[in-house]
Amino acid sequence: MTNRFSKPEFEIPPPVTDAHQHSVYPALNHDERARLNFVAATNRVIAATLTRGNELAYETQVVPEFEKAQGRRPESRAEVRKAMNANAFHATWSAARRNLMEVRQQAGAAIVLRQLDQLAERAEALNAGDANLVLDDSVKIPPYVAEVDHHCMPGSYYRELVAGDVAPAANYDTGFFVTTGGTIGTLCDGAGKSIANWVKQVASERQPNFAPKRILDIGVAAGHSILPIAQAFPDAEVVAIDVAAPMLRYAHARAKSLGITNIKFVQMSGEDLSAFDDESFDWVQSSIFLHELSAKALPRVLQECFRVLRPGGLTLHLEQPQYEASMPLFEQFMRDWDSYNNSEPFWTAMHSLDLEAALVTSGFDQSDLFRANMVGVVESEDAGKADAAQDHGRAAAWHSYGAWRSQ
Amino acid sequence: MTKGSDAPLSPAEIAQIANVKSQGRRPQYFADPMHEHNFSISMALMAELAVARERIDTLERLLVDKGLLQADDVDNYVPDAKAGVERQREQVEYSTRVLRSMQQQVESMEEKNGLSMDDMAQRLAQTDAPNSTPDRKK
Repeated sequence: MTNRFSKPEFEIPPPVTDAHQHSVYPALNHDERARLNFVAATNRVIAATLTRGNELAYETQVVPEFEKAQGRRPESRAEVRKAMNANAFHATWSAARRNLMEVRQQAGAAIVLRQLDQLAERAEALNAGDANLVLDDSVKIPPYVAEVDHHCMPGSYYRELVAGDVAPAANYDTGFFVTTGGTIGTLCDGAGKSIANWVKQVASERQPNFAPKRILDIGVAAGHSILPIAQAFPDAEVVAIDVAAPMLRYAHARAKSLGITNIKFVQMSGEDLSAFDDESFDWVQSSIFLHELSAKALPRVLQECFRVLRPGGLTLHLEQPQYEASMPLFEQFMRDWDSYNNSEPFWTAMHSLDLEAALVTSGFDQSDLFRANMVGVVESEDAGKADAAQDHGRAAAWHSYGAWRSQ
Repeated sequence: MTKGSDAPLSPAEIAQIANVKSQGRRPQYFADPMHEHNFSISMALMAELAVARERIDTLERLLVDKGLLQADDVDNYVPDAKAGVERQREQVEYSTRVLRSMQQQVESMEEKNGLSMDDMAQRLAQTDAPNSTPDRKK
């Protein structure tokens, strides 16, 4: 129990002006920056000082009431959720977090809507005629993207209001730094850096000669995670796919403006990699992506990953930790919040899935599976630190679930 | 607005489109829908107040940078008697404006026979016109 007068320990989130200003980063005026600074600061206050109140409410109010009525503690995530949703503290905490996300989305949308054409032009100036950007009108936006505004982002990743639109990606980019409060770096590349470090340091123990020549990233979005991987393996040809053209236009322009040219951004669904030969990649991966797939799409993506991976190759998928029996029920409930409150409808099912079994079903051998803990890597000590204990489901502390394909 | 449209969006249009709801039914956190709105509006005002505060801070810093103020001038400012009274008058006006709804409820509780609009319409329909003219000098 902490002394109520003890000095609060949390990092002040960096202002949005600390985000790396690459060539396609949207212009932000004074009040737009202030609005995003407010979101970052309030997120941090909620995480650092209020979130623990949920567990207190659970143990001191919700469980005793539940026990009085049922003669036992809650035994499932659904029971915890039902009981917690009726608790005044939790409901208010949830309302604050949800509203803050809505304020963030409103602020981000307003920023990009006023400069739609300028953003499209700036991206086009970098993209025009470049063979590393391959768009394909025939790629259908799957229903699990079209009908869901992931993390309360109206229009999701794909909406195009003007020709050559990149606005959803520009909005996503500014918001990503704000909602992560700087904990994954000024380029929001902490997840990708942790993957690159892991492959260089840990994977080499398993395969000392692992020198990937061809890397496939699925669901690349604005490219935050793939850039440090492409940088760490400069001799590799990286192919990064996504269904959403605005993301790919922005991601390519952003990568190019940062001097990274060994990534080919291709409009394609992870469910259909038929454009690629069997066993044609050394490394196939995704980062913070699987939870946006429907239950039907996820196994298809994993199967395609297996098919295009060469024997001896590496597959990995970085995600928030899966719900397993060893995870306390209350923590599962807290980690599940996004599913019900942040337009992440597949979050529950995906995080409840036995991913290791799913990898085996897709073709990998049980003995070739691995799980790696990964923590966000930031470029400097000042860039903010993850606080895994206090921000379930949001912290820069992930698991990578993966496998080596048998030789 | 459709793909390929070339007219830039007006500020009013931007504000409206930026407000668009995400697909699916929004979770409700409070039993009373009005409470839901009150909370959301409070949170939005919290954001706008943060913006206003940051803007004031910017102004102070600019004034210091340009040598028009010393860094601690604002914090050390003590109003003279006249300014002190003027500012308190403004504070009172401000608090009065913000607490409008509570003041109106107090008035309402003081009314012995507060009439609904329906009742008022009925009463006035039955009242002779000359006697129902309100006393404008009151």
